[in-house]
Amino acid sequence: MSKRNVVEVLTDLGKDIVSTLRDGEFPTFKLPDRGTKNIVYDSAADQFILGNSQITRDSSNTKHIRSFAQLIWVAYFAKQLIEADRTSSLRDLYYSSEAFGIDFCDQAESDRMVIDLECLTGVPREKFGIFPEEHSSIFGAVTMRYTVRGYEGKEVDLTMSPDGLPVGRALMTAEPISTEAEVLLAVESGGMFSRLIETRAWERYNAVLVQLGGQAPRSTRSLMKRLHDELDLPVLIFTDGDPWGMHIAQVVISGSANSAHIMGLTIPDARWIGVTPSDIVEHALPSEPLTNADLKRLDELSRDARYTGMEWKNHIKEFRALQRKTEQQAFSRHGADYVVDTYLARKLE
Amino acid sequence: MRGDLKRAQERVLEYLRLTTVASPHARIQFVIDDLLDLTIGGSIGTVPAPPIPSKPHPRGTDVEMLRKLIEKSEHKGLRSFLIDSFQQVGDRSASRLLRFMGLHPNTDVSVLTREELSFLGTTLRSFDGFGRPDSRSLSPIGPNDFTRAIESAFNTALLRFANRGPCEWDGNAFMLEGIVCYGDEFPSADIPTMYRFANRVPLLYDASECVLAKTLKRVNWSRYGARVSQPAALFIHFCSTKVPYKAAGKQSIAHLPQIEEEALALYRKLGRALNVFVKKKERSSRETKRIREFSKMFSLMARYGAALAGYEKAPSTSHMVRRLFEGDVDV
Repeated sequence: MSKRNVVEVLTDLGKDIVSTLRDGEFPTFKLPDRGTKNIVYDSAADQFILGNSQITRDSSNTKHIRSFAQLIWVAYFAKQLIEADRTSSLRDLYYSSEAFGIDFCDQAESDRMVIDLECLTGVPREKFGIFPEEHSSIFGAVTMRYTVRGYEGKEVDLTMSPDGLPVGRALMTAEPISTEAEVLLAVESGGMFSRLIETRAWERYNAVLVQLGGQAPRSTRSLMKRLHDELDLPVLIFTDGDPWGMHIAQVVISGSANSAHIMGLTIPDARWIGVTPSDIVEHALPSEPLTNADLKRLDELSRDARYTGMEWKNHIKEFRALQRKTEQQAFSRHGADYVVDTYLARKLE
Repeated sequence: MRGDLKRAQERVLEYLRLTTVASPHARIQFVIDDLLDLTIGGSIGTVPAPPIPSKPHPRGTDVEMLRKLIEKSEHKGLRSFLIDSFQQVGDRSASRLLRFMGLHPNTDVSVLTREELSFLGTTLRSFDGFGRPDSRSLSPIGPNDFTRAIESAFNTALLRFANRGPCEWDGNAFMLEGIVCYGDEFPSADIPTMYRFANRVPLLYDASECVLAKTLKRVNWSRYGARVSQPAALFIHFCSTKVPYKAAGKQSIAHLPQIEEEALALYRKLGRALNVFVKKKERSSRETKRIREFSKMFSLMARYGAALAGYEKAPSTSHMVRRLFEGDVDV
């Protein structure tokens, strides 16, 4: 959706409100219900989507009016951002509200309003220039062309900085031009990301590296998807060897419940390469016993629709049998180069 | 007598003001030389009916009193003496009492020995066959006068009357009546402020010694709407044919279980009225707040809706809010 269309959607929202008020009516709108009961797995799209249940916000209801006003303000704020070609973090938005007489109890409430606006308009918040605080990074032999104001047409080589480039709004909206890489390798931790750059593993394996930094922000997932779609890069994901790491990969592959209202973020043919439970055994990695929280998470995942594939079921079974977990850094036990020379060599070749 | 007028003036005024509450038929003029000429009271145009004199109740007898009564009723037979000298003693109760004591009804009262007199006194006090003392001898202020009097002396949003009795202590009839008030004129506290009266006389001092004040603390006022500091007040009138003052200063009433029990019941009755009032008040202030909040958010919605649409002016919303809450509370 182009910038002009987004502005139009928001303007129409305002016009609707005003014309309803001029008719002496109380504005209402319907939102898809984001309760957990209304999140279903769509096997055709291979991602979570929202079901048919809807909720109504009614401005004549004293319990609704607060969030009604907040939502309209968020829409207004978003339109200001787009028109001024600015961005804002979710936290910035939370603090900005005070100057406008809108008060949120906490950032969680303002974050919810942003999601409400996404649901209402069908536009992801990144299009409004609203981003989460955390940044992940990217590094690799890819050339992108910026579209943000002031940089239009400028090209950037993603190997420019040995620290990698942060995935912000500029990169997210940039167009992939060309690449020499053959694969996109996403890693969970910053430590592993730096290691792979330093050891020139990216050259050896022709890989674009992405640091996810835990659960990947949506901007990163959407950038990965574009690189995958437009440059035909297969996506591999390398995380810690525990249920949480496995799920980081799963979210990249089939999406999260939280973003079930956003389409086009998933990469169904991405692959989790490890650390798998069998890797722990095979590479004799230092490991720790699974905690109760880990085991509980395994139980949840085993009931999750995204984990019905045979491969996933096996991973869960193996974690349960092994009762142990490990981190990406555990490969250092066998020397600093082991992970690149031995582990990734086996996984990537 | 010497005194400090400057220091006492407020107290005197307070005393007179409270006097107009307990005796609303009295109009009081207060003059201090050239300084002050004040007329208060007289909110009621009619004089209260005078109490009816009554004979002593047998439960209040002692030997001294018996001797005095006997002196007045020369050579009467014992039964006639009892019937004529006491209230609530009739033919039947007198005969029962004498039969119980083993004395002949016609015995001449003037020949009774000291021991017999003492025995008669004890028996009269403890015999349970007599009716309650006559309450027509009491002079309560009454719901109408009491309410009207406070209304004209204080600015209060709540006026609820309740009473207890008539009851008795040692053969003396007594009644308790009270009014619960609420208004900024009264001090705010966790328990209501109390104004005490005994037989229409304001009691200003020694409150901590008084059964009425002590009993006030036994009530859990937080259960009666005085959760936080509230400007609530109680006006409590104790009237009796004899007030059991604690000391010669006549400022505090003695701690008698009968009085305490009645006071406690009266406070709870008044407390319930206070609770209803406070709850209602809270509800209406909550409602007002809710409407104010709604109105604010609604106009913000309109303002940002208009800004979003790119319009200069936001549509007016106050009429819609008014319509929505019509009949709830004044907006």
